[in-house]
Amino acid sequence: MFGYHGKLLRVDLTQQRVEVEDLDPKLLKKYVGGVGIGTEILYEETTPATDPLGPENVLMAFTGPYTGTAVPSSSRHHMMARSPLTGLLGESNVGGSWAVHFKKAGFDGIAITGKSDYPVYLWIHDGGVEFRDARPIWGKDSRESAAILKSETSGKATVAAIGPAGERLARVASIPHIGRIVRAAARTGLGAVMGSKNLKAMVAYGTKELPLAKPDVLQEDVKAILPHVRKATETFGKYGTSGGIDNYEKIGNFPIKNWREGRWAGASKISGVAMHDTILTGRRGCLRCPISCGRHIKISEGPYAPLECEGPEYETIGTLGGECMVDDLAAISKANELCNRYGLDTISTGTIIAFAMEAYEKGILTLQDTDGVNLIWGNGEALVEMVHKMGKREGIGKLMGEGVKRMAEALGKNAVEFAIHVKGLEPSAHDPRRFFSQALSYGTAARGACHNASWSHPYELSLNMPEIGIQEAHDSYKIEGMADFTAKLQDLMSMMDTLIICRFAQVGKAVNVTNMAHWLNLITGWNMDIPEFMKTGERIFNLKRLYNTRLGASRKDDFLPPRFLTLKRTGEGLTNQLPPMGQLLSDYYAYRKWTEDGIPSQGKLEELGLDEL
Amino acid sequence: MIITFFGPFEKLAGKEVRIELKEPISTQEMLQMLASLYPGFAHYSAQKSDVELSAHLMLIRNGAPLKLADRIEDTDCIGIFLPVTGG
Repeated sequence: MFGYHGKLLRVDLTQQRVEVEDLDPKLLKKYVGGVGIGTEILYEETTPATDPLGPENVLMAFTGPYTGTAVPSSSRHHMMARSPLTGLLGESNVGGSWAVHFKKAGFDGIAITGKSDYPVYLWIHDGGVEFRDARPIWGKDSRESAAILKSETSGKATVAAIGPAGERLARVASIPHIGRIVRAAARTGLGAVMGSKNLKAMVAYGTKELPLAKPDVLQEDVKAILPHVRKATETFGKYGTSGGIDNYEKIGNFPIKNWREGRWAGASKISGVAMHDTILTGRRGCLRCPISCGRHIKISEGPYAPLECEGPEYETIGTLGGECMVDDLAAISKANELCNRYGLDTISTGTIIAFAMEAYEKGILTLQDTDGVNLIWGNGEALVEMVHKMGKREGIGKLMGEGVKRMAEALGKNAVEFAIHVKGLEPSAHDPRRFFSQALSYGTAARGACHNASWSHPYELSLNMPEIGIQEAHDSYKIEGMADFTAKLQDLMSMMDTLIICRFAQVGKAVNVTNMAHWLNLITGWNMDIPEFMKTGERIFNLKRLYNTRLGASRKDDFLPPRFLTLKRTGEGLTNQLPPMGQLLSDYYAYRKWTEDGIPSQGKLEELGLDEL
Repeated sequence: MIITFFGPFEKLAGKEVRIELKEPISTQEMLQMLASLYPGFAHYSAQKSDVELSAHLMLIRNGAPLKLADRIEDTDCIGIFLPVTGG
């Protein structure tokens, strides 16, 4: 077996027992890795009765065949469980260095069940796995915890440690991963799943070599393409993920005032360019990534000084900044750092605070509810204070930590009308009124309002991928062909989450599908062609859909919130278009060979080898 | 035509420039024109495809991206921005 150790770690926290299970080569060929195998296990081992915050939920982290190899931008893993936020499939893909250390310890994945009697952490290394007492660090933030755990294990280790938000079961809690840089498995509340199991952290460091089918050829192939990758991603790396905020504000993709407004002059003050010109001190990349899009910043003056840490990414600036109308980069940076320390998803947190600001404006929340915090639009100090409240789950922060859907239902009146989410997940910072493939992606992604399920906005603007039938950029408002355009990209992204490789390897077409399939074959010794490669992605996407279908999800859950379907934004250069969701979904289901209710048909399941499920 | 420069492009060419066009030109020709006025644009005018260009900059007219082959008229207002953003 090449490209894998063929080992799955099974951890039962209730019994403090570990088993190492051999992974079936047929399973690896069918799903390849990451999200594919994770979804299969989740499907087999949870039921509609599984409580997301109960001991029976299965928390997983899976690597892929690329992990630990020379493939650029592949230091990533995929985390999964039934989501406490949506009640559906929960997943989050995360970079940094944890994946490589974990895989080098000799494992491809880990599946955790049960609940410890007291807080513990896992120390995963070449020799195996140890349960260790985490009571001394319970209550500490993720950075403090990581520093202590590294001193107890290895200074070279990477620590995936929840903060107080996860311990206190906030449904928007993330799992920060702290190594040379901080990256978070942020989406769908997986930090709360860890907290529910009394699992404070997973510390990983390993040195085992991974057997590859053709390591020398892979090395040469990657070496040959690296100059192109560096050139294609040069600008992106220099200004980071938020470099093009001016651009996205201008074309109507940037979220403003809880998705109410079309244009906002404040955007340029918080862009990656502004960051580059003011507080940026350096770039930080995931392990062996030639792009290095991560930011490192230093703020020496003002109310948030001193602050020296990771800089906020695009999605974080869009939600904590644009949605809340906060044009103070220092306040956003502080809020971002607090989210990393408390272990909160910045995307959900920003959307929830924006929602609370609108509720405050409408009189649904009052000064008494906020403990005296003046929650007006653009108030950076209020933004920071609300992150504290959410992280500690204090006052109104307790309700906010439940996510925007539950919060709106609890507040009553007309709050549900401006609670922005799909399937309970707050959207990332891309407006589906600007990119109709984004509307479809938000609607049909298994985890809810997820742009990464298709990562189609760059393909609407400029990218192409002829190998999978995308000959040219697709017009954002052209309904004809939108369904297959979106579905093909979802299938491709499913493969990228299973191999695993970062979305940003596509910037400037640094890497294409031919490269991806070729590298997979060099690593595994397989001979997978592009049609089979894409069929595997389609299989994974359909399996994720089946998981949600079994939980009762269908067409009714694929619609966007009313604001996206009815509110036309105004402003220079904006087109005023609204996504025709009914038609988009019908076309999409037809292309996918799903029923009109959005259920995969028996014929499609047979075609994909999923009919036995 | 009026071209507005955003972000790092403002440092290359200032906030805005007005160039008179007697007849429509392509986006590629516009970039070559800019390169002759501002040497910092030579790198961008050398990009041979829309995908290559999209790695470095985005040209927007009326809220929509311009391709290299698109025609530009004297009445057009164009913004030049950094390209794809996102997480």
